[in-house]
Amino acid sequence: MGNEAIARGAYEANCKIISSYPGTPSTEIVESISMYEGIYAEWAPNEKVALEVAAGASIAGVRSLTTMKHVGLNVAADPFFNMTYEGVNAGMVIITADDPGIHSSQNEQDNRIYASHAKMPLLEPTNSQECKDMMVEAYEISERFNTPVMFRTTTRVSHSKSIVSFDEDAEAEGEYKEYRKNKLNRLLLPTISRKRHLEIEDNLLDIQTYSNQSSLNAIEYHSPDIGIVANGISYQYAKEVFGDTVSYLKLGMSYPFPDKKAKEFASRVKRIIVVEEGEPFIENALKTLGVDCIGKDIIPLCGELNPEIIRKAITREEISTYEPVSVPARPPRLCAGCAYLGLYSAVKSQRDVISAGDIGCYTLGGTEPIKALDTVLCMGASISMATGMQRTQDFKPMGKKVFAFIGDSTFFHSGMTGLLNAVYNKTPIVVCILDNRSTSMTGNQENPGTGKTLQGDMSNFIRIEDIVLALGIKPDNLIIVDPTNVSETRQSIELAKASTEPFVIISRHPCELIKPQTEIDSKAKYYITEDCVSCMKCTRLGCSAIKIVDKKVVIDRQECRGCSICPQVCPYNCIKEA
Amino acid sequence: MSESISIILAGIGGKGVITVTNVLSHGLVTLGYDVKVSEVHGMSQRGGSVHAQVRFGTSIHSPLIEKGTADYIVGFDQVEALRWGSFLKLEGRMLVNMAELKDDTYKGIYESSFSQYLNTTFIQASTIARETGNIRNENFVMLGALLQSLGFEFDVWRPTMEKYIKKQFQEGSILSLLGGMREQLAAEEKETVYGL
Repeated sequence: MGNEAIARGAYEANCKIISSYPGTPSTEIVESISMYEGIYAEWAPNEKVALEVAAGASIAGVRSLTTMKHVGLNVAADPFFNMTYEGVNAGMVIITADDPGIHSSQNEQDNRIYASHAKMPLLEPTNSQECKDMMVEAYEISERFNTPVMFRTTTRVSHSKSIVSFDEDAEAEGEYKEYRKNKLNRLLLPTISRKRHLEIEDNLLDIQTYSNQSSLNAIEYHSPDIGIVANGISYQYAKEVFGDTVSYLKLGMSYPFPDKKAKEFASRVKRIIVVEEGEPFIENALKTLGVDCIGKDIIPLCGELNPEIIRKAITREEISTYEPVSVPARPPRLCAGCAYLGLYSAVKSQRDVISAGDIGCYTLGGTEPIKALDTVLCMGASISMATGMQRTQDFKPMGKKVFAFIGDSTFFHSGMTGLLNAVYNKTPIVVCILDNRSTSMTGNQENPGTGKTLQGDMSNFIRIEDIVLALGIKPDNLIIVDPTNVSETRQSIELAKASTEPFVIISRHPCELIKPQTEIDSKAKYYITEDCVSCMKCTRLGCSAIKIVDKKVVIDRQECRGCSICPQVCPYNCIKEA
Repeated sequence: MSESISIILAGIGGKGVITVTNVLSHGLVTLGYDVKVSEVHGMSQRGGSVHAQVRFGTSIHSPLIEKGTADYIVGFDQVEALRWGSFLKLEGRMLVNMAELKDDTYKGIYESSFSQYLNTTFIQASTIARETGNIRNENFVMLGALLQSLGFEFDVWRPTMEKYIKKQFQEGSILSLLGGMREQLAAEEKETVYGL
């Protein structure tokens, strides 16, 4: 996998310190690197913290890495931009794993633009082998030019697998950098930053010379008719479609842009087509140089590319196919037996509630058939947005209470400050913290609330209720409830609605995916009795074990987890223990 | 064998698609092919469709298979096989698990939906898996059918099975794989007879 190859590359480059927050499709880099001996790898509560930890390690003299998904860089944007000014001591690499096609994200931003905006060199591998090799080169560039390096992958590079050759016995080697106290150019005060900006611009010209000479940017000359300029996975797609019938300029380092190499390429081919996913990043660079090219006129700007799109766009050829058969989609749903089902079941019957959601499994509580959430914006936004929504009612009363739904890991990530704001400004929102003791959506990573580190070692167990109280929530305004107990959950929602002060419900039940199999097996499973009148109330819970087969509601024995939520919502008492 | 072979393995989360993909791709690497694999499984544990694309040959560029170019679609489930139908080459082959459906989400008629594909083998994977001792090994029955259809001998896959399957599951998995190979061989022989 591309992500495993990146981890190998970081290891071989003698990178010693890694700090990250999980995010698809970047997560496996850290999980993989934590298996290497002699490396310190940690989960940080969010991307800003992670990037700053890596920055500290670099300044102190040890090669460091931070990895995140594309939207994670938005969270870390502040230190990201400033690190170019701060410079590095030992090499530092920042990985952003973009998600064209939005496989599991909120948006489709193209983070290459971040690199040029922050004036940071940008590397992009096209397969797993390059993931490994280019990581080593990234650290060389970082130290040689006193700058952090941005390493950008996309889902299809991170998550696809191709053969990687490497020496299994190779050991990480290299020297650490000496730390020199109070070098003033590390203090980003205006006088220093103004001077650094001039240096950075000079430095960029040097890096551009490197970019022109480096084999990261390579011309493959086959024919003078068509010249394709491509980066990342787009290069592999183009190569698949055209093989050696066209010429290529393959860009592994598109910022600073290799202007001389691009002009040389342009002089040798009649027509240039830019094949890139997302924004016209390379196309604009070429046009700025006065190189005539075709790009987004024919290659889509939205979505993920593939060989078929490229073939159609350039040659107008289509391969004949079988007629597609229309089959129903299987959208992702909350797991069978997920405790969130109990909480959402209790919430969605409330007509006077507005529900602000957040990023995690529980986002699925906004989809069919649960539909308990009204908004989902970004990590931590549920609480802050709820505050804004509640405040609008000072001006136009709607008679609604605004609830925020946030997971444990997301609360640590960026929910705490939102809650602090609500308490400080006395906005009477209700915050439901869905504490399932895990960072489930990305694959059950540890977080400060699980009491374990990335390596699974025991650590400080941070109690969410302690944080909530410390942020200023009054003890009377805090309820801890097990959401599989639906009636108690309903009562706590009623209490919370009546409160005139900020209120917190901690809805606590461990994630189904982290329970041991013996615990699941020991639970009694449920079935639907003959008396069922098909009122369909249980199907609206959203449990994937409850199905309609031959127009009758049934509980799939294999999938039932024995959570006991469905018998509590059946109005006719037709769901019994098997 | 043409320059490259493209295979789509399609199923539902938790049914062993990813396990089979791992065995298949590692085995192909051992046999000296260039191999690229693309998996989509982010939501698998939440009941979504899961599929993997495997391409192998002398030199592979794209990890994604183009519509109308897949040599094989291995359907671990009928609905999922149909979902990927338009990716199949006109002369490509469908291998479909005929295990009974628990879910009646598909409103069409299976027989007529599958009849448009020129080469389809239906495999009673659950029956074969049950006979070989473990109902959970339907995935290996399907892998066996695929390997047979690709023209591989079992012996070259034995070391891969032994390396990538946990000891306690090895015997059952291998028996299921062999069962799938036998089933596919029988189906192909029948086709030859009727074809004449």
